[in-house]
Amino acid sequence: MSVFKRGFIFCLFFSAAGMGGCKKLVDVGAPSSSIITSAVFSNDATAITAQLSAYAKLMSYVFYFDQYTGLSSDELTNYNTSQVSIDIYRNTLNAPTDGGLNGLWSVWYNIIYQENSILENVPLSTGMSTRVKQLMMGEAYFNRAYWYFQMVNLFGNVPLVTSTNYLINSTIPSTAAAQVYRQVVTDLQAAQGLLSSSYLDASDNTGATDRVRPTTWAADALLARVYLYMGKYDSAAQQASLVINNSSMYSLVTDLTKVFKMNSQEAIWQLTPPNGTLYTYDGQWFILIAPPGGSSISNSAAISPQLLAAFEPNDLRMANWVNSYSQGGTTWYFPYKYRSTNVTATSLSEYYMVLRLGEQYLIRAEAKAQQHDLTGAAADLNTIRQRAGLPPTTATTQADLLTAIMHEGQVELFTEEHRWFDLKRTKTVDSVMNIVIPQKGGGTWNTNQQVYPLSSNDLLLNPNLTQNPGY
Amino acid sequence: MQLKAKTWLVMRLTGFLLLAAMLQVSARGRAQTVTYSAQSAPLTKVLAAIEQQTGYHVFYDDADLLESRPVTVELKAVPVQQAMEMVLADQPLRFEILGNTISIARKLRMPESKMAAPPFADVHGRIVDEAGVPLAGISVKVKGTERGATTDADGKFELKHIDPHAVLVMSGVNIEDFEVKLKDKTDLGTLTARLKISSIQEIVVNKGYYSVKQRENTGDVTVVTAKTIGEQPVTDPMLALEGRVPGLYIAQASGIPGAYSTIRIRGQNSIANGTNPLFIIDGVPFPSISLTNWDVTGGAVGYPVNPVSQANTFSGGLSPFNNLNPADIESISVLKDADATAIYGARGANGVILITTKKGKPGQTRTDVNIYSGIGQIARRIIPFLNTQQYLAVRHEALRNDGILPSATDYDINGAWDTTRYTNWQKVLIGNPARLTNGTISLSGGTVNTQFLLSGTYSNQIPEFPGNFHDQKISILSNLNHTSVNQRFNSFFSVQYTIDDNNVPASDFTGSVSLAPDAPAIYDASGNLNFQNGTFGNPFALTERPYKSLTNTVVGSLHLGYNILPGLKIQSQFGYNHEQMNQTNQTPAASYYGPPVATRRTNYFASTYTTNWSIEPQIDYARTIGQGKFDMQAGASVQRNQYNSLGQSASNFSSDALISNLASAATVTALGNEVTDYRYTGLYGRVNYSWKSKYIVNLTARRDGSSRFGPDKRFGDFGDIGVAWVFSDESFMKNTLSWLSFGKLRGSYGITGNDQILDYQYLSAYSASGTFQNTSGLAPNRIANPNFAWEVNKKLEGGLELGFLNDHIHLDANYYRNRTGNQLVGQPLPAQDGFTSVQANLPAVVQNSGFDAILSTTNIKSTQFSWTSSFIISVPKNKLVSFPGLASNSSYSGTYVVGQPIIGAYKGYHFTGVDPQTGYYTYQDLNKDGLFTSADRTFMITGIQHYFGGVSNTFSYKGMELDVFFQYVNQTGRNFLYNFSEAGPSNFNVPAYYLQDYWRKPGDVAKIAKATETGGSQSASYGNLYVSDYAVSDASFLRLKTLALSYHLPKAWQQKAHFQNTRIYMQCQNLLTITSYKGYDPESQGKSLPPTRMITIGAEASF
Repeated sequence: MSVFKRGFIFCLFFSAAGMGGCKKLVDVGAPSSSIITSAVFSNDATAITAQLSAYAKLMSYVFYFDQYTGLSSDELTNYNTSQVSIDIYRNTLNAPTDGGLNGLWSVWYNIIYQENSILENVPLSTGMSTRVKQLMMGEAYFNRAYWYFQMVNLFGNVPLVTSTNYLINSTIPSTAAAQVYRQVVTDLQAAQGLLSSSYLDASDNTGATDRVRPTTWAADALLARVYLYMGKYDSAAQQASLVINNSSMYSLVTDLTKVFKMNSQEAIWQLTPPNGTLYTYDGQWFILIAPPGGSSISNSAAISPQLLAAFEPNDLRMANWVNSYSQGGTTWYFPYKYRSTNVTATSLSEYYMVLRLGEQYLIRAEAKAQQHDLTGAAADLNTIRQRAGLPPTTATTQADLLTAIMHEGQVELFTEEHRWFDLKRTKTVDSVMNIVIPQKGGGTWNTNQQVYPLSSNDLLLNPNLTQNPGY
Repeated sequence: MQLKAKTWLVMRLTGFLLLAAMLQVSARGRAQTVTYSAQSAPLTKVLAAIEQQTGYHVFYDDADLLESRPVTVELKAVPVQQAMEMVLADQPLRFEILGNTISIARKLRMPESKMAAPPFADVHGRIVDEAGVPLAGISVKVKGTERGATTDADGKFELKHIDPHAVLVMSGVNIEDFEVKLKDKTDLGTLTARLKISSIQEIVVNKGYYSVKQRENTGDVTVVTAKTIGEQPVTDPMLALEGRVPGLYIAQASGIPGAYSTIRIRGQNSIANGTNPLFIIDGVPFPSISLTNWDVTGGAVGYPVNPVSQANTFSGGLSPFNNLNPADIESISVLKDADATAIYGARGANGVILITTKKGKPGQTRTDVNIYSGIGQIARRIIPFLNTQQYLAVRHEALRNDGILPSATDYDINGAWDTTRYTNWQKVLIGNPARLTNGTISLSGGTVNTQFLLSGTYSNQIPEFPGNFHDQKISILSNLNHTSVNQRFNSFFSVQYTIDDNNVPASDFTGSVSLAPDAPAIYDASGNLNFQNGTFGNPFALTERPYKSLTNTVVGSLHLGYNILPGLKIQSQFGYNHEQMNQTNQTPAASYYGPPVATRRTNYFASTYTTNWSIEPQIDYARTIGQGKFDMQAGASVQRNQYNSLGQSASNFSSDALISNLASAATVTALGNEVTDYRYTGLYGRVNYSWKSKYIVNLTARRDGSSRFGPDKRFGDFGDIGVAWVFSDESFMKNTLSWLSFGKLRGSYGITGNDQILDYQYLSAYSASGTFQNTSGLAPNRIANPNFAWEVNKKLEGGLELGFLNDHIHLDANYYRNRTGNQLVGQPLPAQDGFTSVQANLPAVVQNSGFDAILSTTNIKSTQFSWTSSFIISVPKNKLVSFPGLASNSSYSGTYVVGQPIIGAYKGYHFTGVDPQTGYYTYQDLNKDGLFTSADRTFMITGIQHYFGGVSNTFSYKGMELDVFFQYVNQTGRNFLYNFSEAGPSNFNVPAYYLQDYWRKPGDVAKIAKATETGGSQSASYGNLYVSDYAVSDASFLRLKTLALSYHLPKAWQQKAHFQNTRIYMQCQNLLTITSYKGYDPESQGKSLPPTRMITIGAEASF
């Protein structure tokens, strides 16, 4: 046993013993993979990225609206073998397995949480500029309104959560749809006063080419739609006019193949595909590259016979927005509004369209018809028909005009999530689905099926939540 | 703090003593030497020269030198002591050195004079047991000295240069110590040692920071030895513990090599998190987390439920214990009660499992080789599924019931597929032979002071799946143990290294066993996968979709100890481990239908590592005062664990051949990069007092800090008191109950904690999420809560240990009651909160109580034949004792009920039979509103074990040994209806027993509802089945878990070949399962690959 050895042990022992119990030893700080919340909102640059991630999430999930509402209504024929697709298509959803549409509900509420977090943290920030604070608040109000509008239309009464405090939020009951609508209007009105009227880049500088961030015009356009759904036709027409009259920024694109291009003149708000992707999910999933089938959402649906039959002869939209795939004597038609797929795209040319001018004309046409301004209504309707290469409408009475506008919406806005919502808000859903559901192999239509079921799990976790009738 | 002050006092004392010891060493360093030569010189002259050279004073009486003879000597730098010995070698004189004086006197006429150099003897002998079998590794020591030897493989020993009148002491783990007086004998011949019949009381039990003899143990510890582990052909050592330890429940989730297991000591203490015990290997904490990446998933073995698997809350993914080699394990100690676990403080709540690796033993260097190989199949098979004819009939009936025609996607009946085909998917997908090969070679040996071991193992396990899947492992263990000659310093260094190459399919083939029996051929005419024009989701596509992981694990430990004074010892443990896993999960175009498309080629890549280091210094002091014995201990613990995982998805490969190369992907996306840091620190102390080894008190205390809590909630205090009374030593017992050879009562009460939650839950933070406008975004990580603190587990235990008839029968029975409050939960939130859970403390109390016992008996013990048995039983009870606000305002209201168990619990509908008129499942509609809502889901469903354990019998006759072990579990679990109840949906076959039990026409009294494809307006009737009590039933089983037969080759043969310990053996695992459970395995219960019934043969030899 050498002196060295003894000394060595002695030193080790004491150095280690001296460390025990020290508070510093259990302090780990923040992990390198995250930033504490107060630091996120300490300056403009990082604060903006807290909003950008919400758009990135949106881009990954917004397509489900097109797919699911298309399957639920009479737009698409399902070839997907997964149970949830079959259930949506045949309106045989059940709460234990499909409730909240398989977890999408939780993704959407996560984005709402993120917007609420921005609304709570931005006002507390001392390092952000007043201008960016204002813009971020505007976008957060706008986005929250957008999500609640979607939720209320898919699920009916939904819990209205406007803070990040889980102690309060956990037990909020299903809120009456009318109250949710009121919040949507309030949020959009707040957004109108805060948003930029010009498009923003990633640093919130104005004058960006990409139309991928909501502007005051997007708030106007969404508010027009919301008012239409609420039956406030004068306000709807007024908001739509604000957008339509801004002809320096927005005009209908005459070449139908270019409507869904990135930054098209018709785009009020678009979303870029996920980073590095050269195509939209609509393009990837709708365009058939093989006979439709399988359990993936891709390549598993085709345009329904009902939608196909709805096109008038010589409708340019049939020629330009619909394409087909044939094999073994069978032909399947598919939506072709977006033309880039994962197979064909070589460069980025299309963005996903959330709000576009075409819809605003139809909103105003319907609002005017409802207010007995039949000439004005026909004029707006004909603007859309004219672009599609069709003659002016022959409808003259209010009822006929409303039917014509509804029909125009079916062929103009197909697989853009409108059809399902339009059927429901115009209360024509029962008459249409009574015929369609048996054709889809789904038995008898029940009017309760126009809203999706909530997740059984959420109902267990929040005893105050109420399941939609019929589930 | 009291403890700290005491620690300092002891340390200062130690420092002083060390200093004193060093000074003494320096003094000895000045020893003088003598250089002198003489031819027949007078002694007086020689002594004068020595006096002059060394400065020593030489004293003698002249009269004593009268008889001296002339001296002839040659001295060259010889130390004084030796010089004097040489000078006086032939003189009738003796000498003594005291300080710097040398006294010389006339030799006394006594033969055993200590002053005279005694004559030396070389002694040898051989030790055998009563049956004449040589005993190796027996320690032979010269009484009163440190000198000794160890017997070799033949039982032989030799001692040189010892006092011919010494007494030798023989001791060993398995023998009764005995002494032999030499009395001038040099050949002791063959000595017979008496084997300990039942050495249970004398076994030294490892309790982690300290060890005690079982006799004086105040805690509850069960030890499983290498023999038990070694006779089971498994590659995950945890699987060798099933049914072997009272109170320890282990269930294999699936038979896929490397799949995780559920491991629980005495039930589930925590409602939501952290139910894993603490694992310690050779003193180093082993993170019992699965490294399987959450984003990339673990293929067929699943993935951890938590996105960050940092906390020990996995229930999926590759088992971390698959990276340990069963062949390297000497023993596994399972620590259960407060007395045994409180010294682990905040980590001890769920019990502690100590793994000790094998070490070298003193003796000749020996090589051990052990090789086995076997073949297997799934432990249980379902009786046949419907054949094509039956299946098609049911399918058509389902469509008729629904009033619909076959749709475009009903390929099995709409004409797309050949309806005359028949494939037994069960046989094709999971009916292939499983294989297991294992080989271990080790080299070990050493001296009494230094021992080493080097061991390498290769194993390869192939599951029952088609395709090329395997789990290959290479493990290396090396360790070195050294004790200084004076026995004061000891060190131990060990390194284990394991490479695990796990290759399983992307999902479990078992999921496809219910494919339509008329599904098309697997391969087309040209031998490619057949997708029948895209109509057939061919399960063999999985053979092209491997999930691969390569895991490298290093566990290193260093232990240094020094005995400062008799009874006072300082020691420190240094541990390091590093586990690195690389995963890929690939989907080449060849596994899809249709022309190869670059973007469909995807591969996921994950790289995950965890690094853990720990330092644990400790000081021990033991002292005996009269009949009482004190044992004290104080120590500190510092630990850090870093975790880093990166998951990436890659797609758009130009060719399938390039799919393993990330660089050849056109699109690469980072899925997640998790980095966490966990730090942990603690101070602990223990005081143990034992009086006459009869009354024992053991006190432990610990203060712990963990980084998993908010800054104000990091530290917690834990401790325990344990007592034991060996009542059989009381004289009144000895006199009256002579058949009672041992009796001990013990009890303990203490507080332990649990910090097994995710890191950083207290911190409100954002992390990278998505990219928009070419800019990386940030999104909130969680709903943060800075106020949660330790989960506290209060453990109470009483135990009784009894030995009868000279310990031929031994009983160890325990009653325990553990109550866990301040529940740490990832409290589930409804999705409307934005996140599905928040970390919080719940004011709820969970109680685990119960009884468990081992009864071991030596039924027959003779030199030729022996038969021993053991019976293990655990009767656990689990219930939620309190939960304020559970029903009114809690997100757990749908899951738990006060007074009911929480294990596998949820509230469901109460099944009320199949309606004989409509043929639908019906449930109790409690509030009679005609709907099935959460108000009707009140029936408690649990997956709890009512009792479980094992029965072991070991027979040995001459060289033959037979071990038979039955495992039994009485429990409820998910039944076949949960997995196989739906007849009707396309591609959904059902077991044949369906035919007898399902509803066909009004008036039928049936067990299963009518066939349906969609359920139509009654789809909820089918859907609710999964959340009703009808989906669970008895899942009890009795399993012949292990059957091991071995035969030792005759000695004579072995000696000829220079072998020892040579045996051949057959080992069977999961050989037979007796159960009424329908479906696959009652243990795994899911639609997953059942555990494997493995039969191996092997051989072992040492040379």
